[in-house]
Amino acid sequence: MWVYEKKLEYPVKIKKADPKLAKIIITQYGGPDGELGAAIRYLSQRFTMVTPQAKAILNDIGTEVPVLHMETKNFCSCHSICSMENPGIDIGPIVLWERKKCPVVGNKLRPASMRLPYKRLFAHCPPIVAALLTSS
Amino acid sequence: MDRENTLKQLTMLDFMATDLALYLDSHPHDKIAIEEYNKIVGEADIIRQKYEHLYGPLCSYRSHCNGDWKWIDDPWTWEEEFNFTASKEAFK
Repeated sequence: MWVYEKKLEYPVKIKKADPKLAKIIITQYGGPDGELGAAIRYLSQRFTMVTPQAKAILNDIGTEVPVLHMETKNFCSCHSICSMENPGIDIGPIVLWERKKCPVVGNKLRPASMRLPYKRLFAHCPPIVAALLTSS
Repeated sequence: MDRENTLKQLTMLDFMATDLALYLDSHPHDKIAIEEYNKIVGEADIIRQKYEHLYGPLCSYRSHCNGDWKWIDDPWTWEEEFNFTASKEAFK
C-alpha cells in the first residue's frame, strides 16, 4: 500500500505561467504513453517477475515515477493555469476549478471545455505532437 | 524561514534515500551504497522528528498527535506558502 507524506519529493518552481504548456502537460496523464498507464503497467508487470531485484524495481518505480509525476504534473498544470489573470483560451480538461476560486492564487476561472483539440496542440508545440504521432 | 529550511533539508535527504533505494534494488550487495543509505535515513529520521514536533504531522496515521488534529491545517503541498517559497530558496 502507499503512504501520503505532506511534502513533495522535489520542490516545484513555476518560473512563468504558461497555460498553453500546461494544457500539453495535462495530456500526459492519460493515453497509451501517459503516467496512469505507466503506473498500471509497472505494477502489473511486477507480478510476473522472477528475480527479487526485478520485483523490487517494478514495485518501487511503479510507486515513485507515475504517482509522484502525477502529483507534480497536476501541481504544475494547476499553477500555470491558475496564475493567469484572464485566461484568453479555454482551459482544456481541467474542470476542477470551474467557477470556483483557485486555492492557490484566488483567481476566478472561466468554465472549461472537456477536450483539447489536436489542431491547437499542433499549433502550440509541433515537436511534441510529432513525437506522439510517431509513437502511436 | 526555519520551517522552509527544515523542509528543504528533509526533502534533500529523502530524495537521496529514494534514489539510493532504487539503485540498491539492482545492487543489493553494494556495501558502500548501503552505508550511505543508512547514514541518510538516520539523518532524515532526526529532521523528520524535528519537523513534525515543530510544524505538524507529515503523515495522517504514523505521526504522533499532541493536542488538536493538526493534519488538516494549511499549508498543503500544492499551496503557495508550502513548497513554493522553499523551492525559491532551494534554487537560489
